[in-house]
Amino acid sequence: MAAMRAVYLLRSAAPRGRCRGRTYVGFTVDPRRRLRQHNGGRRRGGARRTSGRGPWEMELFVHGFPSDVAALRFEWAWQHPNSSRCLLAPPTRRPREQPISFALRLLPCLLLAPPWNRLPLRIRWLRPPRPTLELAPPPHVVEEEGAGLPRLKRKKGRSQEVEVESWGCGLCGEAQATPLLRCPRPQCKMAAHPLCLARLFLAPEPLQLLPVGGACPRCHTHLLWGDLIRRCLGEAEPEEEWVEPDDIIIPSSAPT
Amino acid sequence: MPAYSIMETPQLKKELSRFGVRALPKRQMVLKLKEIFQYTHQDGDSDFEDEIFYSQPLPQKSPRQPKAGRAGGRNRASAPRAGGQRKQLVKADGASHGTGCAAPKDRTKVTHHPEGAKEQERPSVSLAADGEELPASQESARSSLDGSDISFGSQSSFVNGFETCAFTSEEEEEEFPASQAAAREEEKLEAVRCYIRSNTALYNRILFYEPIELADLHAELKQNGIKISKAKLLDFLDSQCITSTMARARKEQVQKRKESRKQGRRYRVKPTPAR
Repeated sequence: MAAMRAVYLLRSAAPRGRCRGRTYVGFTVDPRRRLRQHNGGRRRGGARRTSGRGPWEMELFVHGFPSDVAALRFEWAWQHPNSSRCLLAPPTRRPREQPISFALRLLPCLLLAPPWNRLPLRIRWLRPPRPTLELAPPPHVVEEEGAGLPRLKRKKGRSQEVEVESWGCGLCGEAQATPLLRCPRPQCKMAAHPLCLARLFLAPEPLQLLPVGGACPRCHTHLLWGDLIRRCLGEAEPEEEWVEPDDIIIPSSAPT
Repeated sequence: MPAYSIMETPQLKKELSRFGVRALPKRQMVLKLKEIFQYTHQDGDSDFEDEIFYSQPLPQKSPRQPKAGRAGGRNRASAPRAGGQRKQLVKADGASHGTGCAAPKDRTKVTHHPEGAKEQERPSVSLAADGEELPASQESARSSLDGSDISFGSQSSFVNGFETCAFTSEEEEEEFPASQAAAREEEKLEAVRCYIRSNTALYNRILFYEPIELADLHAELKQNGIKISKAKLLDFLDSQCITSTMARARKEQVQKRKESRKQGRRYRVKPTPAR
């Protein structure tokens, strides 16, 4: 199962010429590998639009998409803000605005738009002096910073066994076939059916069907729905899955 | 566009009732339907067109059609222009519109212009707006009864309704002039919501963020007596952040198209060697 689904923003670091300041938005399951491909040109699997117009630097990527469909729709909307049905009032590019700043201006609009504003997304900024977004993304969106690209650990098998103790659902007490969601804090023994917990989390907003998060009924820590689901599916938290990069990719270096 | 101009009255009534508009004199019904058509088919999402709005196979086009065709062509031609020019377009249209109204002959010609301009200004306004447009159309229908200036009255109210619903939030509770149509729309969405909550298997899939096949859900709802158009269902799912997909439906469509193209070729190829 590919746990990583990222939509990334590239910026051309070409010093002069017609490629200066170009941007590119794409989708990948491995940002590190994908950037290498873009910089390697078409023959090494880079996209035609980026081939020979680099060197490319990755500005950021948005990850945590729960499905490919959601991620690909996000990518498409970011590439085509004026044609997307999801953006009701797409911002238009100002005269002489740099493509990169326009892309960064679009990002919060996308994150606040309906099909994504309740998804457990995270923004990972990759170039240290991180620009501030014009509009704040929704409060549950986590912003992370890192100097380099994460190296995805190839897992041979499930390393950590999830101990399956047979607690029932703490909310309804009935036995159901559905798996239980558990609080990620090790000392908390909360377990509940997705349906029961969703009902609890959605109590303040009865018109919604998909919860964003809420307080654990037992230990009252704030939990994000996306984290609970990820845990339940056996996909680890992103932090655990990544080995932090030991080296920073210098974009101008030739790919090996 | 279905050939509204040559449709029989009962059929026209049926078409109108789908949009919550009551029966009108025949000519007005035709006008109204064309107007609605213009609005509902603005974001060239051809995926929906054939399934949702055409319930019957279309008869031959009537000679009056080119008018609509011209308006459509205009839109397409100017669509790729930059945003800055759009506003000017609107203004220009507004001006031409004002003069056009004075001369009753021009009326039909002018009918589509401001709408076209609006369409370009916000091409991504979702079809969910339908529900809100209805009161406006009803109102205009009433006002049009006094005979004068049908298109103008209806348009301005249309455009207003359009603007407001474009700028209100996607949340369902909008303080819109309470009309039956809007209320009915609201009830429908509530029914969908209830259905999803009650169907545990489906709701579990949603809670686990699995993409839902739109056609399947649509069929399921229909079986359970909830009639809603696919476009509205899609808008609803989007507003709830439920990921939906049309992957399978699209695949089937492409396949069908390929097959029909093959057949077409077969027929075309045959006569040539005979010559």
